[in-house]
Amino acid sequence: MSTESSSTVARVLKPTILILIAIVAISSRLFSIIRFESVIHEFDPWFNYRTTQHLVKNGFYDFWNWFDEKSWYPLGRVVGGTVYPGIMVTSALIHNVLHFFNFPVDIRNVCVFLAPMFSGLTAFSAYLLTKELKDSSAGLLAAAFLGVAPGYISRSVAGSYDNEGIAIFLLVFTFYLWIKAVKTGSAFFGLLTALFYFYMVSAWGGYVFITNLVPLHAFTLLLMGRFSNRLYVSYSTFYAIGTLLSMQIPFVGFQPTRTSEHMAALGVFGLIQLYAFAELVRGYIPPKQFKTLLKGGVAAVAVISAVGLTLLSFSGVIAPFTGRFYSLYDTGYAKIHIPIIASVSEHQPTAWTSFFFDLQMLIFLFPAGVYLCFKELKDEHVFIILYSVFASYFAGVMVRLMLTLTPVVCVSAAIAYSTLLDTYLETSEHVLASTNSAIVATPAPAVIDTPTVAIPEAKAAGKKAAAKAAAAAAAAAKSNEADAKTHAKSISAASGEKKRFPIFNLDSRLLVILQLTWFLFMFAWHCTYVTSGSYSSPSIVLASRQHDGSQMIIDDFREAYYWLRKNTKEDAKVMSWWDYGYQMAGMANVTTLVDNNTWNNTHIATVGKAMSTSEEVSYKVLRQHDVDYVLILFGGVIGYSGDDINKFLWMIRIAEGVYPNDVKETNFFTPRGEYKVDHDATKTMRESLMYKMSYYRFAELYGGGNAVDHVRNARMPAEGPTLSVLEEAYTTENWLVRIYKVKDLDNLGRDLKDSTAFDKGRVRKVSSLKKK
Amino acid sequence: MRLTTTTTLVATIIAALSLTTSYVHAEEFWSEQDVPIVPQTFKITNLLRTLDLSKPIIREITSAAVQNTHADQDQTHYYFPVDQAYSDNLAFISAENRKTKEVLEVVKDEEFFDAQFQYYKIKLATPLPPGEKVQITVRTSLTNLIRAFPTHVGQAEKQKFVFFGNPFALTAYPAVKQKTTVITPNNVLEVHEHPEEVDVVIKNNQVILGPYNDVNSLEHGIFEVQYELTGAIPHIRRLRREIEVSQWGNNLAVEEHYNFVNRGAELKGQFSRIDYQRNPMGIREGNGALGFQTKIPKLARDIYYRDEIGNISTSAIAHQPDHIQLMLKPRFPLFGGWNTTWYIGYNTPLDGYLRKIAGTDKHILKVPAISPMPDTTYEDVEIRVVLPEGAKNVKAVLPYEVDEIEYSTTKTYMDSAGRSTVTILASNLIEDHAQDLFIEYEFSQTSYLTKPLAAATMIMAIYATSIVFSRLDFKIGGSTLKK
Repeated sequence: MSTESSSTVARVLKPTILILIAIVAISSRLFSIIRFESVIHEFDPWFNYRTTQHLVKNGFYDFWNWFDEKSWYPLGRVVGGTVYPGIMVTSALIHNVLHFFNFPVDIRNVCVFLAPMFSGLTAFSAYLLTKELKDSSAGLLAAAFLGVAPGYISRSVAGSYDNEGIAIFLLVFTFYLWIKAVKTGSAFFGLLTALFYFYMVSAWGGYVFITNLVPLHAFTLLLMGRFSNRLYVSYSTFYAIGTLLSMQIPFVGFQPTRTSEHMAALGVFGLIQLYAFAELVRGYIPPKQFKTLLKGGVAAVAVISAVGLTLLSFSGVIAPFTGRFYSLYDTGYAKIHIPIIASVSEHQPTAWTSFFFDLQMLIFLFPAGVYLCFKELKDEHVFIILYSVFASYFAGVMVRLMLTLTPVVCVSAAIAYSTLLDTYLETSEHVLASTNSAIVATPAPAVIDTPTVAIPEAKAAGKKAAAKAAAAAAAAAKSNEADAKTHAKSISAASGEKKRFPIFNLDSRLLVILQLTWFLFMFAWHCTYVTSGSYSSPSIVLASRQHDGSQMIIDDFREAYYWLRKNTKEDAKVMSWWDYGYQMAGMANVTTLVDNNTWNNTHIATVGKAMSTSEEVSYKVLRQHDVDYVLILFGGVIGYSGDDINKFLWMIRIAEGVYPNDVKETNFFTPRGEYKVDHDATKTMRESLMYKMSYYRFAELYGGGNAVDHVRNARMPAEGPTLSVLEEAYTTENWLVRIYKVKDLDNLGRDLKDSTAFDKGRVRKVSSLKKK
Repeated sequence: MRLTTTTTLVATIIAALSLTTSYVHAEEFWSEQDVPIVPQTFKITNLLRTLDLSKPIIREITSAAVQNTHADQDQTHYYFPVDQAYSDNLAFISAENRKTKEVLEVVKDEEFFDAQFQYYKIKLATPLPPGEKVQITVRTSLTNLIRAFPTHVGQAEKQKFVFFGNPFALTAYPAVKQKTTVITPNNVLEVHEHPEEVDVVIKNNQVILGPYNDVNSLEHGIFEVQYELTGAIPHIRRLRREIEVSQWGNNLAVEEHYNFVNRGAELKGQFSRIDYQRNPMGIREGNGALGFQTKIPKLARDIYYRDEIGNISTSAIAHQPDHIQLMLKPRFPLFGGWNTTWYIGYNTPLDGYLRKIAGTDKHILKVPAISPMPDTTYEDVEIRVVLPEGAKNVKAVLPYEVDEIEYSTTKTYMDSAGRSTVTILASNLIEDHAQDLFIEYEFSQTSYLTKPLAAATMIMAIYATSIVFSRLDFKIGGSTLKK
């Protein structure tokens, strides 16, 4: 094997490996399709899907000006101005291109497969990024890691049609371009960075991470005294073009000039100009005068900018940080001030276990990779260090941000892993004799090239060594590694007593290599297990195993949504808790009061009030909002714990924040401070609309006695609640979704309670008289 | 078992108010004396009519013994009148010789136009000499003629239907003797008739009208019967059936989109799951439809059953010796007035459906027009047959009359010129229309090559552009300057 031929092999192997990685990345995201069907998952994706459908059907301009009167009734929502349109435009573009070439692919399938397709691209960008940091073999490892890391799969399985699906690709690729721009000092790459930054801005609110990380990188380089024309050109190009482009997204608008989140980028932009100017001045005036000038200049700029920033902040020109950002700083903030943010599970702080769950062995290799970056510490390594520090912090604060951490973990881990492989597969005398630090400092040449050096020596060692080598080759599993090991062995046989570092003898090296390989197997196994078990459920369909092992599908959500879609009038208004808003709009095609957009806290609190107050109070709210149906989730029959009674406390809290006179959280707790639904439930609890809707005629299911709520393990009273302002309209097969129809006003002008009692043959007057 | 006049009157008035155009029509021509405009060349010596109301689709069987009364001419055609008011309800008509069971040709007559009656011309198997007799049986299927009364019933209540009709068999010729038997699924609840002198006998689930002697041609009156009919009244508002032929893949892809409504009595109040679950099987479903059955070809594969929001997980397949029985269960039980939509699809080998006429390019495709669903009425049906790219001289032949046949082209996967497409529009179909339709087209051997050639050209073009692009230099101030 000559050097030339091996490099040819490498040239063919690399793309092949990358393509294989992309295929693995895509196919490991298809569990849900194979197990269930090609369907949109979760909640937010349903909104994205619905808007994409609108975009495909009505065109881009109509989408831009779309006022959605079917959500947030009666307020409506300006969709075009309140979305990140990136993902919708991407799918619509793919759809239209395919249709142009007469491939009548359904838009649903484009949406379902978008995230897996982009994950292939993400793996490729991880390769490019890592290649810039170390070499292409590390790049391949990084691509493979990112392709299957559960931390990223969690948001990019087929059907998970969410912004993150394309945003992570854009994040990694923008970072790659940025590093490339800094390395080359090319305005072209600066421009590309800006363009992809723009794409990222159009796709995900997480673009702020780039907006802050890139300036931070530039700033750190300045502090390290590493200012260069390369940095100046790349940052100036990126910032100027990127900011102008980002302002074209209506939802972003003038935020880059007016909000605190974007101020760092602007500040660094100014700073870098001043620094460049100072550098220029330094060239023309003597050092002594320059020092004075510098001191004065720095002081003046510092004072002016500090005063200016404070003034602008207080006068309101620059908006202060939003609640979501405060909650990144103080994890307890949201719980007290904005319960609506705290009520979302993905906004909770991350549990320690989930780091291992999502990243497995990468989490151990990650610090090692960062350490190796410190060893190298070129401009691009500074970037990775900064990225890892900040992403780690954010991932610790919010579960959702695990997603931004995953790429850097994969990259660092790949660097660490590849360095390990390089070290233990390296065969040349030079490395054998060198110290540990030297190994780290000089990245070894690509694995495939190394054996060529060793070949003549191996031959010299004679037939014995060759036979031994062959045996070793047979023992090793992977051909590539085996190759290297074969030669390593022959060298050790040849060099005999020359060895000075026993750690590099064959046995110990083989041990490490085997262990590393074993780790890789474990990693792949873990990733598959996690992906298949935890991240591939569409959540609109519940699957369970029956006693005989056959799969049973609980499809109650769609049963209810489809019933609403087909059997209620066109403009029916359906009230539900905001969680189901997007799904209802997408699947049931009804008008909703609140949805997952959560832009109007008061409106959500109003719904919370309607759910948590007594029938009389809530009937007024329902009538005021023209509500025709009320939809709730009830898991008591089959033990589905994500139901509305379990979310009820959040509804109460959010409602209390706006209507403290009507709703009081303490009234829902027993004197012993327990949240109970059985005999001990408080009067307020039992009279609340949510309680009544959930348990209406529930006890009858158990023939009157021993009714058990399987979620809360509560023994329910035999006499269930009665309803007078609502009537049961539809309950699904497993009682998971219950829909109630709001009664019209009584024809005879009676109170609805009286008329219901009258219809049931009871005269309420008597009982009310008795009370007196 | 005749009820008192008051109830009779009240029921008649309510029913008349709530519905029907046919009633109004009946009133109109009740007053006039009609004279048939077809040549009076026959005399009906005896006529037996059966009206079968046991299913939502009404089957009427009229067996008449007719005699040629013309002095010297042989008769070749017998005319059968249908009230114009029922023209939208008449889904199917066929005739046969009662003795020989020979099927007779029936065509809509256009010669004798009458605003009130549409005549159907039945061609006799052999010309009937003067004075001779022949027995003819005419079968008609009438849809959408029954009305739920009361219009709303509870979840587990029995629904009742009212049928209005003519107590006499409508004939174009005078009848010496005729009798009508009405069969209902259960005991007859009420019968009212007009004129009141007609004889009515009620026997369990049968109403016997007549026999009447010397009935005039086009004689009519009104009778009304109320009876119980449980179960769903399946009605497909719209069916779109798409058939795609691939000669390359030897595949026939079928997809059917259904828009369904249960036309039974509407559900009173709201649906209660607990009542539904507590009632025993057989009572719980009331008048709701819990599922549908349809037959698909034995070799069908990749069968799917979906709706606008995805797969419907509740369905079953039963392999029968000569077909696959598809049991489709909708997401929710379909009570009276409830709607749903769904679509099913499958692939099946083309072998049994396409025949090439040896020595020519001519192909004949034979596919069923619709998949039959028992007792179901189809309001609007669109059948689209997409033929392979390159098919020419397309012609569709149907066994019955349809509203429209359109020829167009469709572009789909990797098409350059588009595929010839036949769109057939029909309305008011029933199970009996699930007959084969034939499509003739020419498809030459060379057409097989179009697709691979087109694909090869595409790939070639991509490679060519990439070759050109890789050789171009886009560098600003690049290598040329350095040299």
